[in-house]
Amino acid sequence: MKRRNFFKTGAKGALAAGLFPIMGDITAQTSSSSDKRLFNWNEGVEGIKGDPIRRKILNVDVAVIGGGMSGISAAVSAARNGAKVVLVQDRPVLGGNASSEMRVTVNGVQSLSNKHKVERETGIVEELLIENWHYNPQESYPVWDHVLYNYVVREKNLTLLLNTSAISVEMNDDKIKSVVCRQLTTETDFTINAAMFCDCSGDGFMAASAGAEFRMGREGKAEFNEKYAPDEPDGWVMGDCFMMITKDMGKPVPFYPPEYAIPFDAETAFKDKHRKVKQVKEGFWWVELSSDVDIIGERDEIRHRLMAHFYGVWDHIKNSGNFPEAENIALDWIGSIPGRRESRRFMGDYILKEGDLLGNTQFDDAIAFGGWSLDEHCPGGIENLKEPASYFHSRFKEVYQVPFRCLYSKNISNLLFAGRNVSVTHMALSSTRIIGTCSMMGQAAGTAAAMCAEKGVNPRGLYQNNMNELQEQLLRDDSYFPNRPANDPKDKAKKAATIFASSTASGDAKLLLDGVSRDEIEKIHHWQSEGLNEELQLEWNKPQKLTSVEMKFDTNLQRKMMMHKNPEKNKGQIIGIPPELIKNLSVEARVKGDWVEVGKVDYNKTRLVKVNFNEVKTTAVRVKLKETHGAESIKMFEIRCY
Amino acid sequence: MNFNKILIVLFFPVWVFFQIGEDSYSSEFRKIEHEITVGHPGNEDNGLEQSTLVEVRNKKGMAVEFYMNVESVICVKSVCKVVPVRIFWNNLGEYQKYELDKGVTLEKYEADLFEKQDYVKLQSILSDLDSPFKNVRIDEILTVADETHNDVDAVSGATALELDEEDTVPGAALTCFTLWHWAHGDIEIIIRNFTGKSLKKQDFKNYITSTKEKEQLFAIEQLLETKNYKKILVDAVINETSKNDNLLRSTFKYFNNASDKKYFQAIEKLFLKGNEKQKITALNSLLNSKRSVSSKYLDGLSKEVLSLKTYQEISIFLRLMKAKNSNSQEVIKHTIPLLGKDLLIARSVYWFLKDKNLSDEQQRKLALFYAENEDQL
Repeated sequence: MKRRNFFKTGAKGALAAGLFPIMGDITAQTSSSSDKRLFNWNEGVEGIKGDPIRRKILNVDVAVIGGGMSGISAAVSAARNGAKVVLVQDRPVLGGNASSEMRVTVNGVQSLSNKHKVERETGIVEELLIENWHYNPQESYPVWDHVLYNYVVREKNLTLLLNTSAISVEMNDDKIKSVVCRQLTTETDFTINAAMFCDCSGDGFMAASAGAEFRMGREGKAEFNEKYAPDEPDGWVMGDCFMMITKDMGKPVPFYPPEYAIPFDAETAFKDKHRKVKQVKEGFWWVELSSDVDIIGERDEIRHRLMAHFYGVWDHIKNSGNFPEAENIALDWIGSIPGRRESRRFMGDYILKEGDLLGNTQFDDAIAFGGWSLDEHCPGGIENLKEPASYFHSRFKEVYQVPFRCLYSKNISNLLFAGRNVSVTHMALSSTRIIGTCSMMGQAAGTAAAMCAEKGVNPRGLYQNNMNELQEQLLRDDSYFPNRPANDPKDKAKKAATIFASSTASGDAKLLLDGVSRDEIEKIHHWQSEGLNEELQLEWNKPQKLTSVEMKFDTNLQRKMMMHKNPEKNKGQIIGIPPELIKNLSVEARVKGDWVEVGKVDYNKTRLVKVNFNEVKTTAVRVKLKETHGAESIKMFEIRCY
Repeated sequence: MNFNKILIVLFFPVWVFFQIGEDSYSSEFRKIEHEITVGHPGNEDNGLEQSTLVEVRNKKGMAVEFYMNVESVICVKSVCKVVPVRIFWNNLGEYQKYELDKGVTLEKYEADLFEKQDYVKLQSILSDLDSPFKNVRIDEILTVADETHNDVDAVSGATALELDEEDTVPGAALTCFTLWHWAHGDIEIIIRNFTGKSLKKQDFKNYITSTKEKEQLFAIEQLLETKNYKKILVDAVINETSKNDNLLRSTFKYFNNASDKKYFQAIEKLFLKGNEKQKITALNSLLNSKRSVSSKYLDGLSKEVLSLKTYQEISIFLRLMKAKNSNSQEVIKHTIPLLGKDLLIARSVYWFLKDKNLSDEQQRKLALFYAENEDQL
């Protein structure tokens, strides 16, 4: 079938609002013309206009601007929760700071001063990390880009626009009516009409254009009683960074710096322990530049100066004679777009501050958790060698909560945000900016946006009236926030007369109904079998109508799972799907005394497993847990029935 | 690196009889030297270290203590002074103490010597089965934190590990790590197996009937290891297991490797004498066993069905009978009364009996149950 015809007649090629065809719910097609004549400007062929920009309109429930890890999490979760979604990304690849263009590690909560040193994030970010090990054990960043792409484009209800930047907004009082986004590769302006808008872009051009209140810089000590904040407020933000990847050529290789390289003052830089060259594989986080005026406005100048500093450092490493380990090492990849830590922070109904993190404030509207140390980078970065490269002010004993009120604008009524641009102080951002934490916020923002669109309320209204529902949905979708057990009234597993397992090595099958889907410090919430080919059974007194069984299995949340630029850092990690994770299972329902298989999963790759089936009336459900990806017993944390 | 696979090489055990006064042992004790190969996570070459483990036996020939001389620091020997340390275990492979030769001292980073309290703390760390060093990797010991929390060297003392002070001897994390992993891990099972080989029937009996659960578990483990199924010991295992659920897993591992005769006898006794968990485990074992089980044997078990109290017991019992004894009139006879039990139990019995060849009276009881519970089926 010819391509154009497919779009006209294919099942998924139906015209969206009669304006443009959608390809597989994925990519907005920019042209509906079937005219195949040669375009000849001089002949004035019909269809060639003086203004070359094509213009299209997209009507969706939720528009997510920014396709980094937060934006992906927001868009996918909104789509999964029933909203029609568009995800707008200004780069040719997804992933933002984590993409192959910047290669920032997807870090999460680690180095807690507790028995659980690592407390990994669950939900969408975990699905992505596991999926990456499945498709990409070679740890290739370009492959990772496409793992993300595959993850997004297969989602129903989600349209992806790559190479597309928000350029203006149209307002209706305090509401964003539409955002105009230009796709440079197709010379097309998309006017996106949506009920809800999520700015997950980091810098937040759309939100700023809408007039959302924001801050940029550092709060002084007094404003929020933050002991690690500077005495007086100023404009400094944490800086941008370049990463690199090198290769060993097996023989000495020269390095010739570009003319614009800035000589590296190694003597000053290495005076204390904060800046060191302990590896020559993946760049140096302290090669960083920031601004106390306008980091966004200066970004291209910063990019250039940062490149100049980067090459200065590498010149020192290669040519000073002090690093013989670099003799055979050559640069293989260097970023051209700096990874970004901080710029605008949009203000919500609550501003999360240093004291909330250190004091572990408990919020009724918790929607995510964090736990990276208060890791505030030095003002000025590499141009300020007199201060430590970063102040590791404090690490945490336990994870802290992030409230929903940080994820929506205080003055733009249909605007949410997630990632590094949320409503936190500069000091709090030094911890919350980590990608794993940002992704959890993305999942919360996307889920909330879908709920708002469905209910016809704004985020503040959702906070006031539907907070419990939002938290329940997030917990159901494998998010987690401490001290808030799930208690979904729709979950029929909780009404079971009994639950039991074929064997128990540790924990208890009853704990699968306690609403907490991970083990906490000194608190067990799991059931673990003695071996493989085990069974779990729930029994009700009265027949139940069921359409799905949802389970959460072990992936070892106390072990790191991210991909690294430097293979040395894989130590202690599993290169592959977690061996603890269930691989094959089936679900049976007892119908008129006989056990009937209603669903099964082969080669499972996710912690949260949802088995959907046609409605069945039953008094008992049995899950046959066959094998894992390597572990010799099965461990799980939750079972639900709907 | 996987250290689960243990290589134990016994090269010509050397028997050494102690002289009076030597090493504080009396002449009643004798030593056997075992050349062993044991995993240590500090060894990054192949994970394995060669060493000499000394077994100390009492006059009855039973192993009572083990010790081994090890080096205080593994892997990065240029960082700290390396001194010999003697580690002692009991015969269950549990760490007991360490000793240094007279005049030998342990060192911290930058040549600081251990203080008196450091030696005490080291003993406390080595005695802690759940010490943070259990899950630490040597590269974590050898690095300090940076933004990615896993870079740079440890020699500055600020390790990426960031251990709480009570969990380590500051400046001597590498020594703590090295010695903890000598004191624990693969060496424990090596020692247990040596002890097991030294045990006589009465020794086993004493351990099985011990008031200490860990000694009971040790005895069952070593009975399996040495394939010892003497009647008196088998009976003791059943008797003790019927009183303690925590022995169940080891006991079933033991009996799963027994002959058919011993296996079925053991299962029957545990089913009859045991509590709910023990009955369930016994029934599950029969259900999943590949051994051929006779109808007569299962009919015998079915006489006890009325003594089963919980739904799970009944459920697994009916499943076993359906799978391996489906047409037994004896089973039907014993299960019919369960129609009068609580709903979950009665309903499962109803489903079990529904397709069976029943007498008129049995059929009438089944029909009555259906009439009364139709909306709950």
